Amino acid sequence: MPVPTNVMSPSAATVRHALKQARTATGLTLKQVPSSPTARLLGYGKEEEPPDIVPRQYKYIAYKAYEMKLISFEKLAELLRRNYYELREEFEQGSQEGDA
Amino acid sequence: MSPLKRPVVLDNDVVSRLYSAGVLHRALQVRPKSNFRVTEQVAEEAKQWRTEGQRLAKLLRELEAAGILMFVSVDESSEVEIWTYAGLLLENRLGRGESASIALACHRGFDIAMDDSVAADVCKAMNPSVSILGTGVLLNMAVQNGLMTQDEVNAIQAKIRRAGKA
Repeated sequence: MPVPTNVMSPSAATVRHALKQARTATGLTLKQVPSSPTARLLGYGKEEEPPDIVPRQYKYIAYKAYEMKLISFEKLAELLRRNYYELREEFEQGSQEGDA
Repeated sequence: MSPLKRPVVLDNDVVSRLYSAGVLHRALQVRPKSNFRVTEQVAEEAKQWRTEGQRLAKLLRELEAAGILMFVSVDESSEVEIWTYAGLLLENRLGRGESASIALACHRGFDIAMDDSVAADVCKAMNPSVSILGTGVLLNMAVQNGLMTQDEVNAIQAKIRRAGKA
């Protein structure tokens, strides 16, 4: 079956643009993300609780993209470098606390 | 009785909701044996869950051993399958698990169980013949099959509704 290529392009372009803006705003390049072999060599990610390395503006834009239904919840977890199940638990707890 | 005849690929959100409600094993008995599929991407994400990952991975393996589900991978020798999977990843809207689940459903004639509306819309746009089931549908099928009571299902669905958009 042919794959329609035009169905998702505008939203995907919006997401890419938003992510590019976030990287520009924070000065974070892909080379600086501490998941590279060099970063691991320097000790990143060895702690039991890894440091929160995702810039706040990047998180905000990722969350806005999710809120606007441009990306799925699983994609949000990937962008935030979080485990899907743990992030969902946090969201669900947050919703229940909001109800209380 | 199950209204569906085709194998169903389970996505992360359905697995996590059924597991969190403690009914994953019971709810999956609604289908004929080996009629559920879980992609390696979904299984891998489940394993990484710090608090419950080990138990969930063990349960998934037990379900596989019992013939209730099968683990599946994107077939790298299938050009259309790998192309669809890669295309979805490049679109940057869906996660790896959802992308793999949709690629498999679209090209192997499976239905799909997912709750995420963005992923469901993408799947519908790619292949309208794929039926998309939510957690609620699986729970209602479990009631119809006598695997769960309506009260149990109502309580789980109320909890899901309270959890809102997550």
